[in-house]
Amino acid sequence: MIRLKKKDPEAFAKLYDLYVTPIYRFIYFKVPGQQDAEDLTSEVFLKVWTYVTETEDQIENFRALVYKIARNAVVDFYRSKSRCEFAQDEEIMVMIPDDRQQSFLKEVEVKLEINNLEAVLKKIKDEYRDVIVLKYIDGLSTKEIARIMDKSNGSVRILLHRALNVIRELVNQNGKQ
Amino acid sequence: MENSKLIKEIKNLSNEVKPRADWVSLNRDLLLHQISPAAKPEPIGVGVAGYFGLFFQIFKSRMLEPAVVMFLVFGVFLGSSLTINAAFYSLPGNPLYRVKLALEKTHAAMITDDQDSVELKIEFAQKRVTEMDKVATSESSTADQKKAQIETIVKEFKNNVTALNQHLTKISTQTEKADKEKTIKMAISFNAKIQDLAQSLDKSPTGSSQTEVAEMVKEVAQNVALLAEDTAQTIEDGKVEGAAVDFTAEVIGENETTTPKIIE
Repeated sequence: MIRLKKKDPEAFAKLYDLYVTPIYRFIYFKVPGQQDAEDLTSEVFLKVWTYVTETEDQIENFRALVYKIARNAVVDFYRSKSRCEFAQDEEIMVMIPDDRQQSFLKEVEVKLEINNLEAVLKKIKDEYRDVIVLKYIDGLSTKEIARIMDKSNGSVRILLHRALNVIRELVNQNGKQ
Repeated sequence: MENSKLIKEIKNLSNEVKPRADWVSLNRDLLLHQISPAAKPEPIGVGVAGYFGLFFQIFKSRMLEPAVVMFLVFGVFLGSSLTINAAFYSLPGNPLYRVKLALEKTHAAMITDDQDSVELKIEFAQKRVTEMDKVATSESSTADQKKAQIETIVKEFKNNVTALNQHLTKISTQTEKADKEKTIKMAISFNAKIQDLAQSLDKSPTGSSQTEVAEMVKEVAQNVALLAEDTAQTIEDGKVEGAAVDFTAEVIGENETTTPKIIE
């Protein structure tokens, strides 16, 4: 971290090697395509470099910082990008309560062609996807996830529980078809 | 599907979803190139504000260097010394002559001791006489210029002598009895200097022609003599050990002055 703060490109290269895959994966499930995931991942690392070399604040958890920057980058991506059909669907889903969301998904699953777990993950609510990816794919602790998502540990546990229920439901429904 | 099985399947996704290896490598190089300080910056148009900012930045950084600060301090010191030195030899008509007079006034104002102060004022008057000599012997000035210069010097000389007289009067009226012995010694010292002044004025090619100036010197000499006489009269015999004062009239040039002398 000290070397990175002193603008050492080698330190940056090491951090890139360490985080590029998990960050890419984290973004991949949140954006429509592979190209968007690659562009955003690259952008995230540049933002990390700028932040770390310019800030005077103490960085307590570097991994949490990288994920937080990635999360904000995705939010910016959807704000700036012209609204695609996918984003509209997702926005509608965010606005719908969980119980209604499940029934809504039932209605749209045929159109969205959800035929595997990856597709399910791409279509569920942002918060659900984040906790699932961070917890089970990237292997972060509940505390770290709470820090990234600006939530309490308890809220993260509840989100995980609900997210698993939604995914299971969708996968089961998909399997029946 | 059970939760454990679902979680296992989700975890398996981490093996399936990976960035392309060629992209990872290419992106790594691209990022390193972007953040590298050695990367060549693209030419950017710089406006007047840009140049001004650059100049200010360089000036600021240079000003902070100790060597530059030392050089500036030395430069100011040397410049001041040269100016003062040049002013010291200046004559009326030269812009530095005003500086010279101002420095003399400052010098006089800084002296608190009466004896030193009077001696300094006599010295200033002496300088005016020297200046008169220089102007009179100068070949580079015309007669009109010389006249104007001498008028200026005489004016300053009058100011010096007036200040000197006032100071002598002040000493004679304010001196306590206990300081009378000291005053006597001061008067003797002043007298010697006034004699020098009168002699130099007499020798000066312009001095003898300046009757008014000579009269003023005479007046100063009389003041000094009165100061000594007045002081001596108040000292009773035996209070000033082995010292008595004798006033002998001496003629200095065309003017008469009274010179006090200590008789052992």
